[in-house]
Amino acid sequence: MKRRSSFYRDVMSGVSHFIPFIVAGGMLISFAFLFDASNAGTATFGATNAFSAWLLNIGGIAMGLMLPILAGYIAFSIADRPGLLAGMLAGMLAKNGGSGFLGAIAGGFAAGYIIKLLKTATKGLPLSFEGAKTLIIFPVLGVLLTGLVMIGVNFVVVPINTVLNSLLQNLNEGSAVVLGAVIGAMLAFDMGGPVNKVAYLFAVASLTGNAGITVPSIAMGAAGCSGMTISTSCFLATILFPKKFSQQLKDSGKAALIMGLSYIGEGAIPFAIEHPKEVIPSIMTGAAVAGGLSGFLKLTLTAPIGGVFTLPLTSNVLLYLLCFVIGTLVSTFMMGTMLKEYVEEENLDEES
Amino acid sequence: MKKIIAVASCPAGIAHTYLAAESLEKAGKKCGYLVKVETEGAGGTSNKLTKEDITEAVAVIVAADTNVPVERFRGKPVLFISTGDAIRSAAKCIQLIEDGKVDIY
Repeated sequence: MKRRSSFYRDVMSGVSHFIPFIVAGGMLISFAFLFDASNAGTATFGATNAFSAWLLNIGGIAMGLMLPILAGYIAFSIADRPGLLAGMLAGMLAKNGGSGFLGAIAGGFAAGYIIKLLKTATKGLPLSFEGAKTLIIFPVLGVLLTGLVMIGVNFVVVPINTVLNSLLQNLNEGSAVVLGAVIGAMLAFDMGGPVNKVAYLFAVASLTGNAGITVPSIAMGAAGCSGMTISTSCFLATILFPKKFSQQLKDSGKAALIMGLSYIGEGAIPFAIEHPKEVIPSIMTGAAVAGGLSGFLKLTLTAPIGGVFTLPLTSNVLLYLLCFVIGTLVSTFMMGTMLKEYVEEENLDEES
Repeated sequence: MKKIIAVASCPAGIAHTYLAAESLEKAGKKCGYLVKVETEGAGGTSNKLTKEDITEAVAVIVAADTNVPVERFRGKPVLFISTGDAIRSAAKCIQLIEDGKVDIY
């Protein structure tokens, strides 16, 4: 047992705050395309009618806030309250400058440590300067210095994004299968834990194209498709193999279905705790199959979150669903085969 | 009854946080401790630790994958772990506290 590294905790503080922005933004944008399905392929797809245009607008605004929030809360985690402004500025500059997620994460750290440095540098000032410090020095100097550092961050990170993108776009079938399978297996491995978040953030980072525009990504396609199988397969296993689960897990199964379809891997946790040796290999295999298939078919997703709500943003809805179903079935039947019949435990505690 | 206080927080704030809290409460109860866990999830902070809680507690467990405010625990024995550790090995955490193997923060 040990404490997570401070780097990890800082990034996760940012991630935990930006997840709702992605979910809301991603879903509303998908809805906009859903309500404008008849105009698919035209230049105004997603905004042809007033209702779609409105959804696209508010969804886009929610989504547009995600990089400032990510960077802002990384900096907040490092430097406390004064870090928020400098961090959000860094995220906005990463967004406008085209360095995207990687730029926002780097910028959040830069902003946090700049403020921390300013705090140390002004420690000697008399107490009467306390107000000036928090009202003027930290915000103004913090923004200036962060702005300067972000010029460098964008300069370095934009080419990295370009390389990452061209690599992903030019993957041959074989490598795409491996990439998709690895992403799927990592997502399922700890169901929302650190390994899962590494794979997820990699896929999200691959959405940033040249000049910061969002591009379709096969890494995100594989992540979106395989991520749904994790909780969903646990639900399906409780339906197809009811004798192998306790009543408590059967109840958890219902929640797992909703979570799975909404791209939340955490629904599988109660199952993995009860039967780790059977459940974890099963969900990893199924997710790897779904991710690998999705990679093989070069399916892409343009939203930073999977689940049924972003289906309209995939390159081929039917094939994407097919990969999801196959992966889910693989996990479910592996669980069904590996698990033993559930026997009600006798309550030894109360007998004595 | 002796009291242990804890804070739990994970990145998504929907599952690990609450499972960790439950696991710590259960393990504590078994060893005769009253465990109060503050959860910092996606819905905000609940079961917030008060000043009295902190004063009364014999030890603190911080089961967090994000940064949580810990300055308030200055001077107490504080055990820093991940939410995963709390879910899997809560009993071991309580044992460490009973053995006095937790450092003062």
